[in-house]
Amino acid sequence: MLRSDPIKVKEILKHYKYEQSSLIHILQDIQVEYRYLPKETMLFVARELKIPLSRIYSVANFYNAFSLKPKGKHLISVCLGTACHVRGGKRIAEEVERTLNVKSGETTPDLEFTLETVNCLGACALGPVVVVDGHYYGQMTSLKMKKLLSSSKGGRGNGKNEKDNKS
Amino acid sequence: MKKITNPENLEILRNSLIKQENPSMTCISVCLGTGCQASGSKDIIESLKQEIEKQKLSEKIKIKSTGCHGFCERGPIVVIRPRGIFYQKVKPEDIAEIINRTILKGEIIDSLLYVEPSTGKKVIYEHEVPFYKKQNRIIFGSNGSIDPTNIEDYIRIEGYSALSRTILKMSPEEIIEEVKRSGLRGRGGGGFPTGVKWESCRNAHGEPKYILCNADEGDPGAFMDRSLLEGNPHSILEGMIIGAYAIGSNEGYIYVRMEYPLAVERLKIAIAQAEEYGLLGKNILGLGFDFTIKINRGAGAFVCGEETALILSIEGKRGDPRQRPPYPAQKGLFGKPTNINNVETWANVPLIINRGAEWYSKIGTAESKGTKIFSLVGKINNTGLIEVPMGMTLREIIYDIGGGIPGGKKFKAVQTGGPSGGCIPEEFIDLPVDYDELTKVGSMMGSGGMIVMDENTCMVDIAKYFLTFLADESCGKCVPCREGVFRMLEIVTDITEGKGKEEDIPLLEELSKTIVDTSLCALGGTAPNPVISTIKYFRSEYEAHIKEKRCPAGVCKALICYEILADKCTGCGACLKVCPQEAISGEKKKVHTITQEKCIKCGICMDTCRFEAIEVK
Amino acid sequence: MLRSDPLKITIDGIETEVEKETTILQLAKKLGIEIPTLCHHDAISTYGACRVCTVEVGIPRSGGGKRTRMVTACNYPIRDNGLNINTKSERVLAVRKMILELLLARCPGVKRIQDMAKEYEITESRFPIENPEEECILCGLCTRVCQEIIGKSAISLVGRGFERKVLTPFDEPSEDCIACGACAYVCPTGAIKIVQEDGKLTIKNWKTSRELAKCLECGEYVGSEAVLQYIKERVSLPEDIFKLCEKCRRKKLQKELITTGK
Repeated sequence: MLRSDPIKVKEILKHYKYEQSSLIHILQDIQVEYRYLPKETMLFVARELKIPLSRIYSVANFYNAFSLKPKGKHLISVCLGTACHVRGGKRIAEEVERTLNVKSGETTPDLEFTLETVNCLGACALGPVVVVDGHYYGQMTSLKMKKLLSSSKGGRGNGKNEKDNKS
Repeated sequence: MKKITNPENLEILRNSLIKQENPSMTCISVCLGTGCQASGSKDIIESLKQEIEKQKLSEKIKIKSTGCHGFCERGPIVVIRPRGIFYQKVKPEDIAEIINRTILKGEIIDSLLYVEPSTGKKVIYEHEVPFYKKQNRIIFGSNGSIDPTNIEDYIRIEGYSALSRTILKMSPEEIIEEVKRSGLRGRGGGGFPTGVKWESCRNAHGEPKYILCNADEGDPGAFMDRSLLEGNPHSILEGMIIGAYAIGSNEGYIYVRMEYPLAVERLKIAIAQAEEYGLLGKNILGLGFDFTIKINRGAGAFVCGEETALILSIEGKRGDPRQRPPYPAQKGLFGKPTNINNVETWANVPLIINRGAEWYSKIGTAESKGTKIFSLVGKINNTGLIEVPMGMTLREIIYDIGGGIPGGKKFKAVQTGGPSGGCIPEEFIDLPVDYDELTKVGSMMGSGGMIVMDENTCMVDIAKYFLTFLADESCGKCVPCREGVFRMLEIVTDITEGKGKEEDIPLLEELSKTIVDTSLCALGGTAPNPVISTIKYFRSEYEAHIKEKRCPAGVCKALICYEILADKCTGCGACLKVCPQEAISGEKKKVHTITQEKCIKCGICMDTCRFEAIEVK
Repeated sequence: MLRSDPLKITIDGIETEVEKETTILQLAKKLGIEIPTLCHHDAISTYGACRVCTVEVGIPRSGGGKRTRMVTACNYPIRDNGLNINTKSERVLAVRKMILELLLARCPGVKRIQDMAKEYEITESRFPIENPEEECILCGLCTRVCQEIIGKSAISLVGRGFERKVLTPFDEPSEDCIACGACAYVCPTGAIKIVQEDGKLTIKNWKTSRELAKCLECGEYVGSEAVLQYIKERVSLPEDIFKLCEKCRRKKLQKELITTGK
């Protein structure tokens, strides 16, 4: 049985007219809905779209957008594009890893934060760049990251009040 | 708005839009590109609205939110027209002053002006900023003056006139001929002649035919497509519709990478507006041609920028590239003839039609026509997006436009072509930049990333960086890419950790040859380029790592250590407080020291020190 | 499709004529020229993943001269008059050696890889061995046969890059797998292990077991029940066809023939 709400998945399927070629769109919407792809939803989609489960599993494992484990409430993406890399992006990622005690791609046990390193966010002029819940922070340093994390942890979550991105 | 049902009505609308526009009315343009938004430009717009409301000036002042102006480094950027006053790094607190002094009294606010780093001179007007001066912004220029969410802004500046002219007056063959004569080559990386591509798809057997726009801009360090999608989406749509008409297609897709949510949002608005105005959909401009465009969001796989993988991804499958031939022009999306061009390529099309192939082909070099947008980033003063004619030298780009290297550091190399490209050393600083010249020196055009590196960039680390990227993004289908790139990464990692062996360099070269020769797709086929070019031009750096176990640039963690300079340390204790390992000790106001055994080389102490007392050795 | 005139081409110095769209591998087989393959099977769609069949081709340019390319023989369709194929050039041998060295490091214990490598004078790999037990080279024959020939798609390629694997969904026993064993049959390295015990057929790699049907006559195993059921669903056969093993069925038939005297 679906622990996750089958009606929601049905709505998503309906929106895409049950088209097999919309599989990726459908999985994307499910990912947004549940912050991961619950196994039951994949079984359900396979049945409804008449696509072999193995193909859905294979697609879910190919794209970075999909996660088979629940992601945290807050998503921290540290850019490791070339421009960010030469300006020390990796040190920012390491700072997050140390502070939250997770590796890239992992989620804190309390499901608060997920850390991702991204291969280029396309905001190269501001490197190193970090995106927290869709909000961009440019010209980061390890120190600024430390501050940003403590403010995010302090309950403000999305850190939107943090304005130290201008230097 | 009623549908425009014929080309004359489009011209009538355009003329009335031009008339409505009062050229002397003050217009404050605020950049809402991703870069400026990150620096807080949304707050600027809010403050502007409030202030104008407060002072009851809404009749006199227009606010325009535009796409990316390119000079992201200096964001948020505000341009006040018609005078063209250029304010940079504007903060919400500055707004009242801008209104009171600049708008109402005509005064210039000194503190918001751009200061030329080399001369210390303040620049008032946008067109005088050296960053813009040497550019030729024929594709990208409208970004700063139109609101991307308003189709009428685009129509006013000649928008969709190329479309109406092509369908009305040109045969598909004539359009293809015009594009061929313009010399336009694919801006996505390969540089294949666009007109030839169109022709082969037009001539292919099979119905329906599909038109795709590759907006899966994955090259790290490149974001010009993003800025076009966000700042001038209609130019891309118009290019696609013209291409569709020339090729004989009624269905198009834009594949946008998932990291660009704003681009998707702007495209959706643009498509809806174009449909509403009768410029997209059934019976375009009443001329009997149908074309629809759908958006596909990528799901995070660099390899999906490869055309066969992109096609599979649109079909809802894994993006494992497949062997070509057959090429997509013969067998593409759903097995039908398909034409794929990149965002910037499509945006060039309306311009070629409007100004003519002859005009267009005068810009650029013998084999590379037109302009190219580059993202000039990394260790450079003026980071941002630039558009220059093909053939401009690296020196002009890096020093005249880019303003040179920050902090008085020495230029070391510029990396172009993303993970498929290479690092170009200083000896080629006078290289004219076009497709063929870049290839000659072991790099490539790619989608237009230009990452500048200085003396503090380690070239072995850069090679490792790209190999890590590629090993992570390889689909793993073919042996040379899956196993070979992984092995190259193992070897280069060893080198950066001081475990390199003499025979490593020849083994890397041997592996490179096989990977280049036998990989299934271009990702693998070009994967060794960053290694080949760094070995070729920076061999001594590899040798220093291998033989002397030393990283000359001071980057590779295993080979460096942080030290506190006794003559500069004031004993302020700032570093001691931030060190996550408690590796720093020392009494207040006395020289501090780092316990090397505890140090994890995170560099926070160096970031924190205000006296430049911490050094990498 | 219209048949066009045969193309005149050269392969390893031999001039020959060939039907357009023939692959290099098909032509080589016809001429008795040996090209090694790992991920290719005549009955299954081409894939081009192992790259050991790489050959060098000179493709004539429209303006004269030839451009040289390295292509995979299994899926390169011959389309140009004057094509010059070299299956044993120095460059070809060099890349095959490296590919086999890479595969040997991946699957050090696989006899087929060892033998192939030996033919190219590779006995040891210079790369460290990550997993000495690894036997899968990810040629994708198992997933393709399961999808294309059997029509089950019980397994698929999962993950990417060096982490790529063949798995059942969630790496759990598969509902779709009928334990037909086609995957093990086509596997070039013997990486897929099937065991028969306690009246069950188990494909270890897929963690999947299926009951075996017994012959009503002699008690010998006839095959996986799921396979027999699947065959019956797809082909119209007498209801009791799989109740007996092949031997007993033949005996029964002979008996019937004799008694009816036909």
